[in-house]
Amino acid sequence: MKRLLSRDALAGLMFIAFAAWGFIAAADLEGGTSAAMGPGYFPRIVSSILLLLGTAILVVALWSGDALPPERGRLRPIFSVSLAGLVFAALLEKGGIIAAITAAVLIGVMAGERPRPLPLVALTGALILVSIALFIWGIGVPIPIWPDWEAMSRRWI
Amino acid sequence: MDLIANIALGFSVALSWENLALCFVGCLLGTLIGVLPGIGPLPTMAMLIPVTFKLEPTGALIMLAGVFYGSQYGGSTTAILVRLPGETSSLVTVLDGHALAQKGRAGIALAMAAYGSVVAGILSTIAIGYGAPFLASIALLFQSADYVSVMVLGLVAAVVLASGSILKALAAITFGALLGLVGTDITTGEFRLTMGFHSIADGLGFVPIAMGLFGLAEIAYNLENVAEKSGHAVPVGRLLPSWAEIKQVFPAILRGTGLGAAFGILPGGGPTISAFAAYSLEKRLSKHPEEFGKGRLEGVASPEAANNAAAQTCFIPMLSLGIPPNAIMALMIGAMMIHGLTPGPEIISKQPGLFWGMVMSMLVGNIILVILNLPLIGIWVRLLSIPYRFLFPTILVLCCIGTYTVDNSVEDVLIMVVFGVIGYVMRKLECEPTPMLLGLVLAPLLEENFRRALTLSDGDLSVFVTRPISLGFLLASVALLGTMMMSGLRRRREEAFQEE
Repeated sequence: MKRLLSRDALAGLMFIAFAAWGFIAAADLEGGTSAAMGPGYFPRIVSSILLLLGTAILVVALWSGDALPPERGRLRPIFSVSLAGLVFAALLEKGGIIAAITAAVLIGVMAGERPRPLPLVALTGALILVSIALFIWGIGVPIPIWPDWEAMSRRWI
Repeated sequence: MDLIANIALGFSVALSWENLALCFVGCLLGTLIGVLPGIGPLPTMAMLIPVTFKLEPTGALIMLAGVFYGSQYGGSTTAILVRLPGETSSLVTVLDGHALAQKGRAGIALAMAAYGSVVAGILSTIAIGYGAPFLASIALLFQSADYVSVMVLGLVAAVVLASGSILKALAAITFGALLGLVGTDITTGEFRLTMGFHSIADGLGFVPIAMGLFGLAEIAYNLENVAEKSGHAVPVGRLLPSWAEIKQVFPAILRGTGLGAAFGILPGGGPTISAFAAYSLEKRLSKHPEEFGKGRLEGVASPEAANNAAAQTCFIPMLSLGIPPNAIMALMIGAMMIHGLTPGPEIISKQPGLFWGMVMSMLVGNIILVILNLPLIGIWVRLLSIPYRFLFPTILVLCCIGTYTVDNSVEDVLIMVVFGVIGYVMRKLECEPTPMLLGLVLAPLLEENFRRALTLSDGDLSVFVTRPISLGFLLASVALLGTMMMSGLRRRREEAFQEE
């Protein structure tokens, strides 16, 4: 059991899972022949190699691995950072860049040592200004600056 | 002379006001992120790709290249002054560099690192000018089957020189390749592996994946090890080395340059491995190996020359064959494709302005970098006191907006988050995610050539071994894999990585 939960064995299982995803996602694609390959031919080759490698990693780990457990981590950093990305994505097009950045920074800073309020406000403000200048005015990305109140009220009321 | 005309053309492109400014911005940003630990050239370049949309492709590539080799300069500053490698490629610089700093000779160490880098930069620019067109002229003889084999060799070799488990690195490459196949099948137009999401019908973007793996995942990973991320800079001191010191170090710089230039061209090579190799070489050649680690100038100058040389010569296979020797070059290829350029042997002859302009901009860039790094060292020292708690929200926000900007797509931001989590899990399981990028970029090319080769040979797989060029590459790949499995090379490789 200790070996099965080692970082090597888990890595093997992870790659096997990725290979399985490849096979399932390519299941309805025509394979064809080697002279006239269909869209599914190459994905299946790659998935097979991945399956082989994943199995090899797993077997080696169960056989002779040093059974090191996965590196200990804390969930908060990866959770906050991912959540910040998701909220940013959800807010950007309707809520505008100011709301999206503010939310991303406020959620993002939960990941680490929290800055004090004043530097935090300064940082958020600077990031908003730089982003508006660089992306909206500079390269003309069509993102609203302010929230689209009408669309939001329609959604929530 | 053709070469002189080409150099003149290159300078005319590189010295235009716009390109000069872009080269400067690239070098400046490169130095900045090089100095700051916790952010490397890969996510920075990924973030910059959308910013370069409105630029001419040449200018865009000049700037991106500047970030890469600029980060090699900046990395040494942090290594010497704070005993933290600003970049992985300056890991060995920490040893003697910081030892010198503690003896009050930080300025000399910085100067040696910069001189080593600039000499290496200039010499390897010349190597690119000669090497890339030569390699491209050979590559024009390649047929599809040969391309398949050279890519296989590149992917295999990338594993040899990468750190960590060989099987895991191979699996990471293969997983990357599988992801590279997502999207519309070029021959039939059918959607593949899209799981019904129309937004990825054009394929998974390079930028969202790179930002997820190296932006988000890196932030989370760094935050867990935050205690190590602070340090105090020591005073710089005298910056000008004496004549005797220069004479002592110059041969080491040349050796480092040669070694780095060679390692840069090798598939899988790059700045980090070159710096390690140069350090071991100097230690072996030195009459005073016992002084290494206690502040030998050669121990700073040679690895810094090597990492800068490699950072430049790794452009050779990328520009002449269209095959990236490392993940950064994979990203450059991604950037070129976004700008509508197909990397390959034709690029040098069809776009001489682009190629020679880029090569000459590296020459210009190296000179800019010396100026940025030596007289202005005080500014960079002050930057070192920026705490990570301000840095990471900035990286986070720029990753989010940058990813969105590539295609104005919210889905891309979601893909970035997914790969952030995947990258984080991979690192926790000791799988280096970097090789994934090679697979991701090479998979479509590999498939296209594989299909074409087999269509031409009527499905006969023997085409890969009957063509001599292809056979040669395949034998080389098998030999490499065989050697690794025998584990001799593997042990030596681990030694090289653990060299004090």
